[in-house]
Amino acid sequence: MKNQTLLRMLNRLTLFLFVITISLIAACSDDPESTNEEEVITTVLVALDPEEAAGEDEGEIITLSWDDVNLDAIVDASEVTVSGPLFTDKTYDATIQILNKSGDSEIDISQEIEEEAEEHIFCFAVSDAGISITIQDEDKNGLPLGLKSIWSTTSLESTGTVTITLRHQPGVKTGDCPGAGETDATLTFPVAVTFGGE
Amino acid sequence: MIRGSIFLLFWGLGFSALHGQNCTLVLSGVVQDKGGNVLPGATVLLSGKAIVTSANGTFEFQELCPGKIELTVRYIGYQESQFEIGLPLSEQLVVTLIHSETTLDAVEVSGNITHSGLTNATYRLTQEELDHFGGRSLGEALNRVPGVSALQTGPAIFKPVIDGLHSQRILILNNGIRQEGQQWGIEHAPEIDPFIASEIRVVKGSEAVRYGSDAIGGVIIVDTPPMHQAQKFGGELNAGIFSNDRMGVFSGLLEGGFKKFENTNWRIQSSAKKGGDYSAPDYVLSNTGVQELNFSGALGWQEDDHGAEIYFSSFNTEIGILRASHTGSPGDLDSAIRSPQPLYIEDFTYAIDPPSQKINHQLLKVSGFKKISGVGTLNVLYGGQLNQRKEYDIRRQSQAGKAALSLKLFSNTLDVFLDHRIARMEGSIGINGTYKDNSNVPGTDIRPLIPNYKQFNAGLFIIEKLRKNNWLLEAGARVDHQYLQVLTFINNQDLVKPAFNFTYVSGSLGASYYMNDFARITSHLGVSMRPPHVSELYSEGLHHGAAAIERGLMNQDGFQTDQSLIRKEVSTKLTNGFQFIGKSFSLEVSAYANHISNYVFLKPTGSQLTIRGYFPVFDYAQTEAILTGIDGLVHWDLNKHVEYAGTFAYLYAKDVTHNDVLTFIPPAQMEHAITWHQLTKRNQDFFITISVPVAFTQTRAPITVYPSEVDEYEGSKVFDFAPAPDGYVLLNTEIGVKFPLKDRTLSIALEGQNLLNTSYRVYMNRLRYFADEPGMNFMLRVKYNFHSHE
Repeated sequence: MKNQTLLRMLNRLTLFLFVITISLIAACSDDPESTNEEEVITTVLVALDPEEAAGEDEGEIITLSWDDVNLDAIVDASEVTVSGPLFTDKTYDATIQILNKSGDSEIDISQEIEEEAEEHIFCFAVSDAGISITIQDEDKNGLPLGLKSIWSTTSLESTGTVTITLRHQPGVKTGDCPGAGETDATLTFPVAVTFGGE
Repeated sequence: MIRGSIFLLFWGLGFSALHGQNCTLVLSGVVQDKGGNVLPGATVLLSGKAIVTSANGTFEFQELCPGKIELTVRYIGYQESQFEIGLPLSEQLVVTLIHSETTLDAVEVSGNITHSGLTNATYRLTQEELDHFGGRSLGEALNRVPGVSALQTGPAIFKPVIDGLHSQRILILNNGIRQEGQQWGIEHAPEIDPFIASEIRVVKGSEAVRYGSDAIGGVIIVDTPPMHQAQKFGGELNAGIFSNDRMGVFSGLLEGGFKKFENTNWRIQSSAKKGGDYSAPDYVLSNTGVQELNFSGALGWQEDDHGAEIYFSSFNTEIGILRASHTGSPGDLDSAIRSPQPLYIEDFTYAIDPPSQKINHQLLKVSGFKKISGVGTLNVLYGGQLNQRKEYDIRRQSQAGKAALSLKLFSNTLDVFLDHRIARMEGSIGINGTYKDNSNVPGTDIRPLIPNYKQFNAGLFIIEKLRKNNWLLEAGARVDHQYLQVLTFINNQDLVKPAFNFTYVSGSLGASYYMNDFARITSHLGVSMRPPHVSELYSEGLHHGAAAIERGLMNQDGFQTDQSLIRKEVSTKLTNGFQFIGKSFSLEVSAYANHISNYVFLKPTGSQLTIRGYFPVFDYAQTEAILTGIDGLVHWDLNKHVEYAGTFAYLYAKDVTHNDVLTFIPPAQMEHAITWHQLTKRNQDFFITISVPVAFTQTRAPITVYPSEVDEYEGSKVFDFAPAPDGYVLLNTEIGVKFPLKDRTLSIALEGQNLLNTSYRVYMNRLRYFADEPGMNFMLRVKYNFHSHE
């Protein structure tokens, strides 16, 4: 009867599906590979190069850095280092470098930030220290970026902190800090301004 | 004249029969609906004596006298039938009941005897109810049932919550196959198109004996229409438009038979949906658009004692997540929470941009049954599913287009069970087997939230039900074994493959007592066990969506915990219900107490400073919890035209060990609705409903710790980033009419939701930190039904 044919058809179809399923089970999922995270920030380096007048000796570059050496994505106090104090009455050219050292090769995220300058801005907040910071570079729309800035110290000694925040503002950048968008990175460095350095 | 004489003749005969004969006649009959489906548990009244139809819909009266008798037949959801017949009858009496138009359906009196909890509180959403939700998601439709609420992520993602439990603690059956998506995820809605369903039942109590540990909190049974036996071509079309998100929805179903092959039927169905951004009363909820394209097909063949069915469905959706909810750092989250308006508002668009979700779910079901005389019915069910979920985040341009999460879950289930009936005892004995393979698709360049794993489950169960006089007793037991192998990395470097073996049992006892033909009480005690899910064991790292660092039970403090410290959850739930169904008034109340030991939850354990700021750290932990509550519904026909329907639900939950609250527990709520019906001269069914949902403030919400305060929070009590929003009252209305057109029907309904354009926030919506709920929404729905028999 025609029903028998249909029954046989359905039976065969079921068997066929079973076989497919079993072979799929056997065939799929090899071992996974560990993930290399591309967007992670592991290292922030701020290099402060003192400006000298003609004829003066080269001053030492002061470095503020955070390096996630154990790659645990936590900002441990031991990982935040400041190489030395700033000196009074001086002007420093600051350059920020941001890296991803989590993978096999080092990725320079600051370069990506420069390429996407119209979507980023660095915000600087100084607390208790006698430093004023002015951004030097700008994006193609004339709005400040902050990879390069000038830090000027007063003539008095002081200690405090400087908080640097990288804001990601696709489509909403106005130049204001903090403005709209999201914080991609934020670090607070202890800084001191002392006499000396002549 | 002639009639009168015939009457006299009958009367005369009857009179003489009375005097001459013994009253030993037997009247047997069956009660069914217009589709030929039997109605078990229907009440049949004769001369004040009431009996209830069996699982087959049959009934029998004995010791009757020849002559005329008057019968009354009643069943919830159907129009009462009262008629006269003359005894003796030459053949079995068939009583056909007509479905009545009610806006709220009362409790299923006896249910499908071998499959779902008879003594557990079961609610049924019929086709009529589901029609009211045409175009909306499954979770939204279920929100209607007292005791069921929803955990939302914005206006398009609804996860059902039954008596306070959700995600991996409740099971959804999609046409008999356990739905396997990534249900552990708080923002993962069930991937089912409600348009495939002709009925949805919610069993609010542990059905773990029948289905396994995922059903520890309850089961949602989504049933597709039974394959009709008719050979004629038929179907239905649904269309809807919604004003708030400018959404259009369309669904069509066609079915028929084959001239050449008797007893074989086919059905195909498809639905499509496209909507843009929703709007709250004061602003656009940017990036909350939805689009969906689904289809399903079925082929079935059925003889008297055996049959088979093959069913395939494909569910595909893309959902936008409120743009303003995306924050990368606790500082941003803090600003967003404290801002009275979302920090990102753009003009309306249909575009769906990151953050968004894209899900594809394919399901194949092959089933067959065979009646074995003297034993019962043997059923075999195979289900294969492939769930692919991609979640897109806002990323740097160089990574744009890459998913931030890409999971592939391949599941297989095999059920073999025997439904049997011996005298007054009916039951089911069977085995379930499940094999799942979950993998993260490489290419996201983001560490996965849950690892790759393979899981195998096998369970053996037995459920027996006994009907005696006015009692229905039920007992069940089940034993399960789970083998789990996880593939994960230590320090993101070394691959390890820990394996787990869990053996666990479940048991249930239930009783139902029919006090009279109007009322019954039920009681159900269920004890079930659930091993922790992979997400609870191995969750790792910063969850941007939750703005928190989470650590699974196995991952605490960076070490791999000793497996013997992992405990199974043990849930003991007692549910008592009372049900009264009168002629014009019905009441259903259910009260429950659920004790769960080793309840898995997220406990705050401090904060950590990352490059983006201080994130709270939550560790998965196990504690002793209690969830207890009461819910119910009331239905009152005030007169021939007006009816009142009301529901209410209250839940109290506590972490006993820490003397603390539990997070995301639904607040008390109720809904009142008044409907006016009118059947016009041309047999058109017209109605207008006004309903008022009321939600109360959750007074047992966790303490508030704003994201900027997290680093200073020293306590261990659970906390929330913002205070619970205030309760609210809304006003909804619906007007509809049903036209019969020859043997087809056309229904048109116009609905208005949140008519007062109230600004409000819902405690159970995870995006309440950022924005209000949608404002006014008007919907126009049209349904054209051209089934060839109904």
